[in-house]
Amino acid sequence: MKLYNQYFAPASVDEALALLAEHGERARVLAGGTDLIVELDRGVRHLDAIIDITRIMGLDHIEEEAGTITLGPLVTHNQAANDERVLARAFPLAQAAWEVGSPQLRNRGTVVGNLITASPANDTIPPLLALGARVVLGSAARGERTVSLDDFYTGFRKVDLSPDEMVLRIEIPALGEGERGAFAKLALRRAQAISVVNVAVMLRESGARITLGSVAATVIRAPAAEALLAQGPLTPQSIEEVARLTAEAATPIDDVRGTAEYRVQAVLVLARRLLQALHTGSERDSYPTERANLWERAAHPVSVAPAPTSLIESIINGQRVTMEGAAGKTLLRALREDAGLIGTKEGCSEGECGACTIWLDGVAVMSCLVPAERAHGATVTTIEGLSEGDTLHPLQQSFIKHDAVQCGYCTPGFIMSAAKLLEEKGTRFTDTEIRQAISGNLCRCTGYYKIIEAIQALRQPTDDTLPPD
Amino acid sequence: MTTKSFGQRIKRNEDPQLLTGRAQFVDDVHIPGMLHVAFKRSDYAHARITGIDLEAAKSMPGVVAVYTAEDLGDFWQPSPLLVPPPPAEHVVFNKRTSGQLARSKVRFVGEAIVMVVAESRYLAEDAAETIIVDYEPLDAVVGLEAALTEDSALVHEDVGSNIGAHVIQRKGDYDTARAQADLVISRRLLYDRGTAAPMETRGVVAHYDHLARHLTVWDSTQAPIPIRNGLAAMFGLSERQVRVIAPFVGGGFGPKVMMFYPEETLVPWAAIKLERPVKWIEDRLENFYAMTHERGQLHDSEIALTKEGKILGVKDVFLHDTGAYIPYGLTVPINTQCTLLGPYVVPHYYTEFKALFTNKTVVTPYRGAGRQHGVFVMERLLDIAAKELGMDPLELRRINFIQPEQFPWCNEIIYQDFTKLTYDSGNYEPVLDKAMRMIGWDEWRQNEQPRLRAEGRKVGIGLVMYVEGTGIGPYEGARVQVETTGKVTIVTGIGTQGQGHYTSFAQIAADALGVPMKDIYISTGDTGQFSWGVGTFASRGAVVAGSAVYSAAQMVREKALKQAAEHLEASEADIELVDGFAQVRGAPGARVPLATLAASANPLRGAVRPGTEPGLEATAYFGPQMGTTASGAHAMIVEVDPETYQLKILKYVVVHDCGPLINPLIVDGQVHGGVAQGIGNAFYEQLIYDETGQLLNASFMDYLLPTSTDVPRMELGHEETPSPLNPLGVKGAGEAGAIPVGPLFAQALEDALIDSGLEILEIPLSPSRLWELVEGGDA
Ligand code: FES
Ligand code: FES
Repeated sequence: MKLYNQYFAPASVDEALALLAEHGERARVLAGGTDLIVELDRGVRHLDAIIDITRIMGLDHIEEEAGTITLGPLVTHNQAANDERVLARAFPLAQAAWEVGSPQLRNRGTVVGNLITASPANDTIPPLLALGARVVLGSAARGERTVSLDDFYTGFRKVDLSPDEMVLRIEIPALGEGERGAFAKLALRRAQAISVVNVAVMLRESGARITLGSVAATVIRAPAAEALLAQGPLTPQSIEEVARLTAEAATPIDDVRGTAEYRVQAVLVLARRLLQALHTGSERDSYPTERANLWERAAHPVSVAPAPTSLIESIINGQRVTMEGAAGKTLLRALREDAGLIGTKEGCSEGECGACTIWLDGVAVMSCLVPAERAHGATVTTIEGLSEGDTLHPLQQSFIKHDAVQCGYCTPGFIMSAAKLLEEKGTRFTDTEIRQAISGNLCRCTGYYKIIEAIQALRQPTDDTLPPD
Repeated sequence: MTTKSFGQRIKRNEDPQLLTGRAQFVDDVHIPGMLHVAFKRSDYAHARITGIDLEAAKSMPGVVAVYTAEDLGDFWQPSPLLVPPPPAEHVVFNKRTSGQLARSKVRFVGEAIVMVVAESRYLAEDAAETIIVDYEPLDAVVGLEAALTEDSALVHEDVGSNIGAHVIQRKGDYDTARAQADLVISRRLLYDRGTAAPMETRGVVAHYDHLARHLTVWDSTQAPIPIRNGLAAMFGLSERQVRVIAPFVGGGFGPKVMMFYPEETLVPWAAIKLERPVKWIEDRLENFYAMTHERGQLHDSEIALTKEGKILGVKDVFLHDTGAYIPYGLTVPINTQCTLLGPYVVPHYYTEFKALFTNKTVVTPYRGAGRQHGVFVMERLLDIAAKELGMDPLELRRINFIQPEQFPWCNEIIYQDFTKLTYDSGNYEPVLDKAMRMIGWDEWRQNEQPRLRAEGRKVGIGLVMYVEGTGIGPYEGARVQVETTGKVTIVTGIGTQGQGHYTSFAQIAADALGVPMKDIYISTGDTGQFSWGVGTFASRGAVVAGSAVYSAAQMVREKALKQAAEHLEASEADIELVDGFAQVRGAPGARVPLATLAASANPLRGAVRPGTEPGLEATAYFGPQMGTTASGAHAMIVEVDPETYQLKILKYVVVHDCGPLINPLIVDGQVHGGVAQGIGNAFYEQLIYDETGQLLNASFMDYLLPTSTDVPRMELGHEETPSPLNPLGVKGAGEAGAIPVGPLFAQALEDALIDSGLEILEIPLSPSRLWELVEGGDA
């Protein structure tokens, strides 16, 4: 089905709020779209209109002033995971952002979106709740109001946000000198997996906070554990006791990801490990210093092209292409059906397989999660744009040489991810970065190893300045 | 045979197209005027259909047709039975296959009820959403044991029970053997459901040319020729009027053999009826429900041994979950029966299974196809027996191996190709020895493991063995032709889903004809090109079709030698084929291009000599008298997080004997891919049903395929015991990677968690499940 009937791309926040006021329940704000498009595609949610705010200038900014870090509603997970200020003074958020999905999802999905979807398993909620963050909401009728995250979640996947409101920014009280925190999650697969549980611990002047995800209908705090933490400095004995009290706060259920008992155990273990790391000051050791983001520059690209009317016009593989009839589709379908570019493949339509990976304004994204209209005025590169005539991209040659192709259905997606790694890192990258770069791409045939070898072959072989894997 | 490219690590011919996004898969087929299909599928696992409201759908603009089972008239037919039950000692078989659309009753979630045809996929999907089906829900048959109870609901009332089949096979006399045993181990073992999840879902495009009276179907299938034959019969067309093309196929692994899925016949039917091209592409959600699944068996198993560890006999009684219908016959449980015995001398064997109807998706072969269940049972029993006997588990295996001089080795029970299960050749000790060396078994046991354990780390090692019946008949064929340009074309009927057949076949022909690889063009999977064949399954492509290519190429070679001898006035014995020329050995000046010979073999004037066929071409068929048995060992070292039970594979070794390797590069790739799927099956992938028959994790978000971070680097070793059953001596390699991973995980994890006394009797596992088994007192 088409995802929606009407698509709006307001140029200012005021315009966006006016549209929300007009359409109310029947519309929804779209930023990264990584959750919303899946819900629309699966028919879980029906909407008349989406209001794509990605053309509003300035909403992707991270700012810091007077001890407050502010994130605009378009700040992506990858931005949060790489920003120096977030890393320095809201570190648990960077950790959580880095653990979300895959590079392609982190390049589109926004922190605000993650907050609003309000799944108790969402990774950025526990650290923000533990940091004492607030959201600033705006509406045309009532102006701005600020809500503490403590009050924002009203039930399972429910938030205190009226249909005519949107989140204008997140405000995070930055960690001060001597204040520290950390986040950890446990999932059933190493990369790109939903949390079985996640935990954030924050030690601040004003008191300690411990938050838990995926153990109740909303992300919760562990008050008894927090109270004990507040009584004095961490000792090996107090760590054990705090961890135990943290686990006691969890009231999980059984589901396909794990049993309730296992979740309680996992909370205990994660809490203990976080507290130990904080105690020894080693909480930053596990954060990767080298990160493959699959982008060329660290800014979220905000297109300033005017909103599309009925025709979507993009620069695809260096050529101006007009896509007719693409409105209401995903960019993946538009490319395949309306631009005749069949090289980009559909494997899942839910952002999980990476077969649809393309570059949108120079950033690798899953095209199945991008509304086609978003490509209007944007630059798109697909697999067809990588080779020039019969001259293959070095990566394509390497895939042949290393026999990294079997059925070939996943291959365009892997090439687009890996080629972006090369653009981002040149010929200097580690094995870990290779695995990061393709962690959003599934292959059912090859077992991956030859794909990894094919990518390894393109880095400088004797560069010993690289950190070991 | 002069071996040049055979056995070399040769790059695949088909890659550039795939790498540049220019390879055509079914979803890439676009025909002007094409209509699109969406299905309304059952929300219930088991319910009576009491009404269907199509009004809204029919009146939607852009909707061309809406069909229920009633609307199909005579065309509504239960699908054919693919494989009849084997002629075993005791066989009950209740054939129940599904019609194209559910009539009166639905039997699994996702069963198709209504087909909507519209001007676009979007309109078809929207229209399908408006259809309202009234159901009278029935109790769902979900659990295997529950399916057999008196008061269980019945998936097919007319059968009178939920038994789809009941088969007993035996070798020798188990009961007597048991009476003499010093040790009998009995256990209940569980192997749960999974899905193949090829990255490309299924899809069909059909186009009927009413003037030419010709039907063309593009189908993401592993078996285009049987599809062609079946469609021709269904539509009353001659086989010449139907062409089925399996273009590039994005992974098959078994379920894409399943002829006939409802969609495979409905889409062509609609194309004929509506006189418009019609397309259907499955989405991922549909794929989880409507593409066939595999696995789901509950075994009660027993092994009887002497105190020295000699196996006296095995008894295995199991329940097999076949899902709502049984279109593929008994291939999967028969594979289980026949693979269980492994590389071991088992003098006495009693094996019995019941295949049970349940309100779940139909089960058909998926890579391994039941073999892993058998290997799981045998290897687990041996591990447990070794513990009981205080023996080294590998020594226990070694003393029970069939010895090289004992081949051919007959296990007497009936195999999936209906012949008596016979291993053609094998040599198992070198495989075991090599695997032990490569994993570093002795060093690990003596030094590494004690050292790491002393540090408190939970590390374990495992090594398991298996055999795999591959390369079964009935037959495949191939045509090899030298064209007048000197280039060579090879055509076969099998489809290809990434196994690199293009390259393997080219290598075989290149060696026979002395032409460079680049001058060989291959066509597979297009019935317009080759009319006979069966399909790519059971690791048979390289063995059976490869042997046919070999025979055809040899026939062309003989033709060329004969002609060249005349042309060059030399004796045939002195002619050699090199670089596209026929030349006199030792006198390279005396030579003639193959192109010239091809042209003169197809004269435009004069006469072709009686008894000769025109053209430098030949067609050959190969049908092995029985399957050939490959073997191997997998070993791994694993570390378990003692608190979260997440695991890390530190080392993974595969030693594999599939005879001489046509192309090691391709065999390596097949093994890597198989292991990755095996790892998924052992630790990540499980289809979870609730008690109402709803599938709870029909999404890649919760059905976790291993990613690049979960699959370890593998070290591969090869042994080469040739098969006497085909001219190349080759054995199949397609499934070996996937088969023994479950028992390997079980053995290595038990070793890692040795203090807990854990005994693993089920697959798949997960961190959560492992924790329960160890800590939850659930062991
Ligand atoms: S991630 Fe887009 S199709 Fe799978
Ligand atoms: S090559 Fe088939 S899915 Fe990757």
